[in-house]
Amino acid sequence: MNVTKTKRLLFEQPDFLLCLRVGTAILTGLSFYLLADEFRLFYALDGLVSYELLALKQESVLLSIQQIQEYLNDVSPLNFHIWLTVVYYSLSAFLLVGFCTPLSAGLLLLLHAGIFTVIPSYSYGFDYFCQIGLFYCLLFPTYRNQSIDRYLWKLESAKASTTTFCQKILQIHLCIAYFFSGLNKALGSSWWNGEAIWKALHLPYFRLGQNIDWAFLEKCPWIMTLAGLLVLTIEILYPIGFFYRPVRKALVGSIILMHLFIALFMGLYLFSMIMILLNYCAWLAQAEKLPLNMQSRHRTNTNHLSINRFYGKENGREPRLPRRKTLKRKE
Amino acid sequence: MKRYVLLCAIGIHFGIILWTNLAGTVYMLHKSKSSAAGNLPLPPSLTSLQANGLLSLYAKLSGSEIAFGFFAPNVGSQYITSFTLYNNADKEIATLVGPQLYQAESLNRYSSFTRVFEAFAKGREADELVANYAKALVHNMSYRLAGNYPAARRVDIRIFLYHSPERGPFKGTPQYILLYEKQLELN
Repeated sequence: MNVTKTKRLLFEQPDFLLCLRVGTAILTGLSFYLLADEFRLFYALDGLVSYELLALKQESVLLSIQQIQEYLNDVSPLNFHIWLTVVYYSLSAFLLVGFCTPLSAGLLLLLHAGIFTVIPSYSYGFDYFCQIGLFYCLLFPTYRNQSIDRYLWKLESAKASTTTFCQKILQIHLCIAYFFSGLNKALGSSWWNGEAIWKALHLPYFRLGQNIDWAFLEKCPWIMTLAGLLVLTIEILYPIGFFYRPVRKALVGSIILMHLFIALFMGLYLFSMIMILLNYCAWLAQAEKLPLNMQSRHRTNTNHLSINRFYGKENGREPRLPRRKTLKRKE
Repeated sequence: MKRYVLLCAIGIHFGIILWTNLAGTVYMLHKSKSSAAGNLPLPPSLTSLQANGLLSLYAKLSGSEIAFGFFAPNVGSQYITSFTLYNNADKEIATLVGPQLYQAESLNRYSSFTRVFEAFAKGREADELVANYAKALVHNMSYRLAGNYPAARRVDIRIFLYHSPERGPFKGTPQYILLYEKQLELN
């Protein structure tokens, strides 16, 4: 069966490694872009708070961006910020298109850490999950799938077994993250009675710009209690999706929905986007390339072993469909 | 051989993640049962052990240095800062609620920064070092903010704990509980 390359590009399910690389690059660049001119308020030497005070919280041997700026004391703060912006966006763009992918991922990882996590005073959950994404972009063979590196160095695409293995690592990581997140929430009382939902919706820094009056929830307190219990259930039971495939879609869908609500009602857009990206890459993106006619039937079946048993060894080629036996009439 | 090396590396990777989260869970368990969390023995953290510089560096780069207990065991409070500037004649020039931030992402980061003022909250007064660090931060910030107003000669710093409105029969408006107040003379 012949499938044109154009149709393949349009309708093929996104590759896991491609999704991870492109999504992480976009979000990393976005985190820098969304701060705009206020970046210098937090991360420059002459920022909101003196660097000497912030440095007391530095526990890592990694260099912070302020230390680099101090070292380059001949460069004016404005020029340093301009060069930093150019380098940061360039590395994100290189990672996006897959040019010198391991090098750009590694440098971006160090730069991201130096800016956002080495001095953790202004960091929050997104920074650490973005760090995880960049780390896996460095470790996994993200340069082998739909990247400039692949065409430049004529590389073969990553083997299905390797890609599946990498996806399993990401799945396990997310299982640990959500399980302990749910477990820690369950230790407090406010998630059991809905108080946590009420408080989260009323946090002042997350409510700025929103005109939603949540007073109507007082008439139906069971909604908040139910929401709190659902959050606990989804997070604690998340690892079950790793072992039991029938509930996987429901769990992943629920988690993605939860993060969408967090983005809409709490304004944590970047955090929600990185979590949705990681969940999509871990559970929904394709770990192996299937021919177009098989994707509708095997879209969620990433068990390549059963397919290989039927079609033979995986050798980077598309498996050939078996010929139908036609009955010839006896004349 | 390659397979064993790979398995060891994966084991170390997930071992660090599990250790960090288990330590965080034990800390949360103690914190939820006792208000004097500062006096409880903390489980050893990878990032604080001097001998494990390599492990802490790996944890920092892989994003595994912190536990995943966000909004746990309870949703954390947020703290509102207020800086009132006065001139030589003791006339109010401006009242700033922290720095002027226009980006939502900046507000998220500033709200993370204000978590340090938890040291002023009731029950944490025994943690003197952390409270002194928080005071140093807010004093330094007030000098920086007052630098935009050359006529300012005095700044009144106030830190408030935001208390969300009560539910049910104890309805009310949100409250701002004063935690810290200080007057600083600007030279």
